Amino acid sequence: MNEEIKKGTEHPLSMIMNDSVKIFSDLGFEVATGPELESEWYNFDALNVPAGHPARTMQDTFWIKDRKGEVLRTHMTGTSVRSIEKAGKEGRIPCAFVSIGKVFRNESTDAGHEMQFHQIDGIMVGENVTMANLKFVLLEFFKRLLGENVEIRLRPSFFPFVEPGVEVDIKVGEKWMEMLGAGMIHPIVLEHAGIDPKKYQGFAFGIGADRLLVTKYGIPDVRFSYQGDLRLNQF
Amino acid sequence: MKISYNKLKSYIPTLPEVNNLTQQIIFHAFEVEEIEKQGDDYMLDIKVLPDRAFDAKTEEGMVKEISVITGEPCDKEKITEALNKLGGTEHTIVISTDEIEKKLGIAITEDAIEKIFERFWYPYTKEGNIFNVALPSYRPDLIGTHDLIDEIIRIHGYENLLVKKPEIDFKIQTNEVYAKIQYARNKLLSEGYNEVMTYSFCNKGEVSVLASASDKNFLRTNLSDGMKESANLNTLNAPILGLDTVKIFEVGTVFFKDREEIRVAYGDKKKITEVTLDEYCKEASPDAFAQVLGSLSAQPDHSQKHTGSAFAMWSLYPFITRDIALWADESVESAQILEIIKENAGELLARPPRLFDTFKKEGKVSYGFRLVFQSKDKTLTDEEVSIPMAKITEKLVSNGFVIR
Repeated sequence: MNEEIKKGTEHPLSMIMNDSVKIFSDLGFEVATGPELESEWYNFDALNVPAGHPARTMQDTFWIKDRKGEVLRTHMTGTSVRSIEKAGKEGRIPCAFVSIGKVFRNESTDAGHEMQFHQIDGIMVGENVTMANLKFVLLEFFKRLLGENVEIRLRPSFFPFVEPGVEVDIKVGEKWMEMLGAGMIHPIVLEHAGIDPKKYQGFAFGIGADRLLVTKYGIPDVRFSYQGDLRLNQF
Repeated sequence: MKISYNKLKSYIPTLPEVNNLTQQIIFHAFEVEEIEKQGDDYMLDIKVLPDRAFDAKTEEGMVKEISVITGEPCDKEKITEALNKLGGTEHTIVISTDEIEKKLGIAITEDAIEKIFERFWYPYTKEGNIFNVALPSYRPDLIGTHDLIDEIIRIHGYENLLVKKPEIDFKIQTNEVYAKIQYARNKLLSEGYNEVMTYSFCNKGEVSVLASASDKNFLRTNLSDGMKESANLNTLNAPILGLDTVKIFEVGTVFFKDREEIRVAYGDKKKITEVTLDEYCKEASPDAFAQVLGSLSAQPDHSQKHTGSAFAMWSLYPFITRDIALWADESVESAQILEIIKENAGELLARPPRLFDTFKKEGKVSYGFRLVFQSKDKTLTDEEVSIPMAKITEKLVSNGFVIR
């Protein structure tokens, strides 16, 4: 029988992540990938997360048994730092990377939490990369992903790897939603990546892809994504 | 930390009313987690940022912070005296307006910067556009110019941070891993495979985690085990998915003692094939790859198309399928029949009926449709489904079709 093969359906998380890659590519970002099993150095130390920080405890992070100093990555920022470090060595600054992938947190699961989820992490480094540039990139990203009338606002926040650090809310329709953390890369992080913080500066941000999925399509439970259930592939 | 509005007002007599105050705290300093009304007072639950634990978790520290962000005065001498008792050492930071502008990307006037330092009670000297700022002992978190810029912009207000496009000509290189993943996905999708994601955690493997909130302590060494479960689940749901055979695929990482590896697995309930991503892409032609890379720079095709499309939650109750087949004159299109079925199927029809069989014989055509019924709030009985089926049959007969 000569029946035309119907194209398979895509996982909505893949759709949102691939759309994000396209948008960030258009804004000058290069795709970066890195290991899911990450070193303590790239996951914490290089990012200026101090030794006693609560994020480093077993209650939050999956540490690997019998392999000291290895964790399941808890964010994509480690991959971002690996990328700028490599670019610096190759003399490729200014540079910008978007790292998208699976991350892990050791927490009990519910409709809003899952032990594995996906992050979209961005980083840009150059001589004159400013916080106003960060605001442009984020606003442009959300406009292209969710529609022209999206608004964003920044609030003061704190993450060890950025300073100044901000929390970013976006407004779709009438409602403001907390969406991501961002900021100007901390000089110590640049130093750890072998980049001279006196000469170069930049910004970094990390967006939860699963939360974006909830915002874009109204999927009520983040756990649906990992159950291998094709009823999710509706879009 | 929790602090009462009336308490704050006893320190800052001109304190703004509670809602206005809360907004100012949120946009210039800390998140306010809760405002609880207590008689004629309000209890504010303020989430002090980790770098400010030293000063802002004390009552006087919070009073000073709120005095700074609102610009409303408090008893400077008394507050300073209390805060100085916290310990720490005084220090200075040298910063120029150029540095501030370089990092933020906007110019803040010298005058505005001076006013911000004055609000913080930071004594400073100024030479040209360079400030030498004396920081108090109770702010050990302020170490470099980046910390001071954070203080300046949050008081100046992030709403005043303009949006500026980076004027940089980036030299983008291709990420081979990502390109391979996209190549594999596109190929499998075009061959009719549906994409799934399954768990990285399982009950046995070569790498385990030290402690887990779940009972699955190992990292998977294959995708196939999760895929088999997925294939079984989706095969049960095949009618509701509108599929004959459920073909699925996953691209994901597996873990071994000495390495992690990206794999591609695809198949159906009978057989799952699993290979490494490199192996899968081995035979990719340079053309096929170039196409994938070209599409990366294209604008997203889902974004506009799907704006506003909302997720439809599936029913948690079982579905019932019914087939109906009929003879019609050869000139009758299947769409015509489909319309009659849809119009008479009622609310329990879970998805558009699917034409699963067509054949022609002696000027007649036979169409076979599969109907799926499901309720959002209960398990359907045969009787409940027979009502719309009888209605459909009656309509088709009255339109001159012969039910087979």
